[in-house]
Amino acid sequence: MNLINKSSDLISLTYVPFAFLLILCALLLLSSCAEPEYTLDYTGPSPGSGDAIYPKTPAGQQIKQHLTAMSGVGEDAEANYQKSLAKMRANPEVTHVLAEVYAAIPEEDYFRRTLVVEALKEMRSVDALPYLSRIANAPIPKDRLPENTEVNTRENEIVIRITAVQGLSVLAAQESREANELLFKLVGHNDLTVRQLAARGYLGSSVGDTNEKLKQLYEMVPKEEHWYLTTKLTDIREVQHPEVLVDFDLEAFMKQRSDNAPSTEEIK
Amino acid sequence: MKKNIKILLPILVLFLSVPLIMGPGSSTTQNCSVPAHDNVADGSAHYASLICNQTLVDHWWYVFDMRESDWDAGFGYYDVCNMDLPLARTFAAMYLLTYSAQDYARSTGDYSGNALRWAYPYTANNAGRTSALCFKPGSSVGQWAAWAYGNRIELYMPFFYSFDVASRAGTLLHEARHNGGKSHNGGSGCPRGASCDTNWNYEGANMYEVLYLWWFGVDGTRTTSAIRNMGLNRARTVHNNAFNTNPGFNI
Repeated sequence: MNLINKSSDLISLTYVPFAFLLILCALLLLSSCAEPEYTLDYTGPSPGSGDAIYPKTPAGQQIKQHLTAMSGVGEDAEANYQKSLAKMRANPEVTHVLAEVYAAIPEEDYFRRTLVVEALKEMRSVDALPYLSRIANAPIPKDRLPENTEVNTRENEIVIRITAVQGLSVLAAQESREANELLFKLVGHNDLTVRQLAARGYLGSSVGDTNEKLKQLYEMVPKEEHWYLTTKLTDIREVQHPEVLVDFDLEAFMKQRSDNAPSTEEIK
Repeated sequence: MKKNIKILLPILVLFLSVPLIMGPGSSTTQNCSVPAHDNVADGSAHYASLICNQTLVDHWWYVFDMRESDWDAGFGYYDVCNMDLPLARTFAAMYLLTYSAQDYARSTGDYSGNALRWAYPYTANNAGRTSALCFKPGSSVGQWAAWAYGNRIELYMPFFYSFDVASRAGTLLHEARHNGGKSHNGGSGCPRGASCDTNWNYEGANMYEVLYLWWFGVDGTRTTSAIRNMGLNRARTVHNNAFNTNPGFNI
């Protein structure tokens, strides 16, 4: 009996390494299966879904071309943009059509909405004032994707609002009393960044005395926000930068990762 | 028999614990479609000819530890220059990161200069294996744009089709900072109520994002003043919304 039992134990023990080897193989197999299987269906080139927002008029097509120039890339990007901007400013009708285009853009197309407001701002025309005011004062919708903590659509809306505030600031700097008043009212906005940019525009306006305005704002704005009551911008070079980079061991890192990598120098 | 059970039991336990080891949603099957988008409107079209360069593609493929299995199945591995597909749209963001500075970093080990210059080397060295999926396992399409964990970054549909090129570039740097060792440490204590960093000194992903956008606005090249102003406005917004203690800079 004992012998049989011992023999049985021996057999079991002999199989242990094989059993574990089997488990290891199964785990490896399963881990490779653990990558989600996915497919992306692609039916053809992008239809340019945004074309419908541009009126089929010379001004509408001019705006379409201008927005393309605005997002240009390359050595001549800024020159092309400025050329396009000069043509836009020469056509007073464009300001009103820009407002039409803005209204036609879907809410979630934040980038293009910002481009249009930036274009309105750069028209530097009092004709743009009512549109800029309406955009700056429009209520800011809540974040559309609260589950996604890394993306906040409310911030996209704030970018649009402050671009409009900058447009009003340009007009106030050109001595528009109306823009100056609108900026003052916006210092009471419920969003901090809008308040900050409105205060900056108000203080930088050509209407009224800057020191008087500064006193006025110091009384109006809560003490904890006095840091933005200034006409001076922070110099980015004076701001704390990450320390980790100072201690970076370039030689060791290069040896570890970059020896075989094609360098960016080869690319240009 | 009892001894056999003793041996078989751990085997059984190991098999049953596999789903736990691999994580939830690990065996999901994902299907999605290229949504309606406008390459001209979101700025991607400008990059089509720039990224279609074998040396450049080889470089990014290497430093971002990209793999065929992560980018095939319609995501662009077999059509690298097609700006309608996720891979080319990701390369556009990498291009912007690589060449934002006039005197851009010539190697991924060069951390000198300002944030505009080191943003690319930092991202390249910290991102880890960068892959594409339809959506984050356990969520649905559209909820998440990107996710960093361990030494990996997963990119999802909103990253490819809801973000303009600069936002994609900023996201890559932001996620790379997470993989560089800094998770968000501010809980929900900032104005945006999520993904908060306690303060500027923490040197987290939000600081990196603001610094890059700020420098892009101040010193960015091969772009337009319109796009640079958008970068500055984005920096101002993140500065005021993503820190528990406002850094107090007038960007």
